[in-house]
Amino acid sequence: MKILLIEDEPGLQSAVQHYLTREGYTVTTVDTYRQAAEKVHDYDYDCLIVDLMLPDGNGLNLVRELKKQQSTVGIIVVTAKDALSDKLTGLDAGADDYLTKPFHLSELNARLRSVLRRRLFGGQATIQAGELTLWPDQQRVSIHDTDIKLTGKEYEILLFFIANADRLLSKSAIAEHVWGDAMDMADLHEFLYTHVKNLRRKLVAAGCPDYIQNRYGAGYIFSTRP
Amino acid sequence: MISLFSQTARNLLLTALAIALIGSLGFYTLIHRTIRHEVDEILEAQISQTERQLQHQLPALLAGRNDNPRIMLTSEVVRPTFSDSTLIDSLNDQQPIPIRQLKKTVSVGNQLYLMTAQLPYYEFNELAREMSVGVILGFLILMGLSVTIGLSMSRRLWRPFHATVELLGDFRLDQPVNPVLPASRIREFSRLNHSLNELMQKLRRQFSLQKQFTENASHELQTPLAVATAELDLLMQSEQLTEQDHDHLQRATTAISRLSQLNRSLLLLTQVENDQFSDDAPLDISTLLQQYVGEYAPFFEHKQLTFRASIADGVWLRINRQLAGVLLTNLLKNAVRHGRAGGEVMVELTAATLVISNSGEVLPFPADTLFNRFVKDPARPDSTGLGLALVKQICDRYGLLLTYTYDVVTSRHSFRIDLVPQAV
Repeated sequence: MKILLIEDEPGLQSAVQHYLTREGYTVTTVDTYRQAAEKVHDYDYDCLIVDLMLPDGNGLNLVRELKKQQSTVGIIVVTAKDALSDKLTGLDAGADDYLTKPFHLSELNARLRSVLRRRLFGGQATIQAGELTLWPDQQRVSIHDTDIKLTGKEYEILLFFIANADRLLSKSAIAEHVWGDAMDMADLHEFLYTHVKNLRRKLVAAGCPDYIQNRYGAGYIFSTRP
Repeated sequence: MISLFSQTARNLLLTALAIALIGSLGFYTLIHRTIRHEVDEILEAQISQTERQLQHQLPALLAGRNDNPRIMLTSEVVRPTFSDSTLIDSLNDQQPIPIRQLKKTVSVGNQLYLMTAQLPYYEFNELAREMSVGVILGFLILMGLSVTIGLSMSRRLWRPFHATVELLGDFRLDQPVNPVLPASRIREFSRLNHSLNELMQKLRRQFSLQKQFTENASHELQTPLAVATAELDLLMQSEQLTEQDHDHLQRATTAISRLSQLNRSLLLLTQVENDQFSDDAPLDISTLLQQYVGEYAPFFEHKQLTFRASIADGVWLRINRQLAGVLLTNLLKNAVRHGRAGGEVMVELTAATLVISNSGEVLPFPADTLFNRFVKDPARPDSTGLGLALVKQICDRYGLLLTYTYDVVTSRHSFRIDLVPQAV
């Protein structure tokens, strides 16, 4: 999977590149609007990660340009502004998703997977994770052809785990993904613990190996490797 | 505090009274003295006329004339003296009447005579009194008129000043336009208005710069925060970390989460202040509240809060959708966060009011600071202290009246919003 990362902040650029490369993506980075336009013109990418505020232009114009050319590339917009109008403009221009700084790398990764899945398989694809099979657009999960009944939030947590398999996920990253800023972080950690406990219990009860491990109280790792 | 107007009136009246008092005394004395002078001249004339009569006529004639002036033989010379005394009026009820008399010795031939001439004052005194009263009355009327006219004129002259003060009282820095101060033909007032206009413009410019700064600062903070978050995420993936390292990492991650949440709230707060949410539209508050209550129900449950909601259908409010969301979720968040575990949370929406209440201990700080920024429960240092400030700011933005009450008997905190906007 080829990703073009358009980000002018070197610190963020290298961290994102590092993380996504380890996830198995081929990541090309540019830091100006002009370079980005050239790259997009010359090469094919599966997904673009675009910072809206670039030193020589607004990333939104690039999104509009691509949509005008009926490009099928996936686009995730990243911005430091989080006013609702900015978000709507971004999505209206044709972006697939929208992230506000600061964000967790695991969050970006999960969004990226979801965008790619929708782009490449029209959302029909199933996800295989160990013995689990997931239909992300139907909120359905099964093991050995038996459906497991999960609540909406438990399903979201499971999907987030699978998107970031074999990575240590901080409790903050998971909680933010599932609940946004509905609650303050301190209240969420405890709440998350209950949800993960229930999820594990349901999976194990359905005959699934315990893929979710608590690591030093720092967070959780989902791993299907023995 | 006494007004300039009544102070002027008081001063004018007191001065007028003092002048009238001193003036009338002085006037009375003056008239009295003039009259006495006239009387003295008459007395002297009488004496010298009698003296002339004495020289031409025989002293034998003396017996036949009336006794004014009285003439007596005397052997010693006295200086002519004037004196005041009283005489009993035999004709008029024995009333004492003030008189003036002159004693003088004259020599006719070789004989010395002592002459005493007397003249009653009464005509003159009456005249003096009447003149004085007339003059004083005239004076008082004049004074009264000038005070009245002066005051009514000054009242009219000061009108533009009072209008200016009134407008200044309503002045708010976050108003979109300066109030128009009334024009005045008086130079002082027009200078005052001019200076005030300049002052207001300067303040407003300063204020908007300040707000702009806060917003820019918040924006600029997002990127370094994003870098820090990403770097910590990467670091966490390292295989070489000990449990203790993870502990430190987690604390750093939590702190950065808090910082970015704080920053987001601060940004939102300034954006509301800067009026950057202009796309107001009629919004179905009932449906929105139902939706949020549904979202927060798991949190209530988790904290074993008994939750009761009574939400009327079809309550509409003209408000920006995002701000309505922030308003409702912040109040619900507050109820979950500070509600006593095992206590009760109540949400009540009617066409006129929204009340969200929770049971809990009395506030550890004065209630009137509750909506101030960064005011928080010392027992919960991880709050941003901005949630309720945002609620207040949004209510102010839409002219909604927000009140907080604490019922000691049921130990219940209530937040009430009147959904009928007051004049903004």
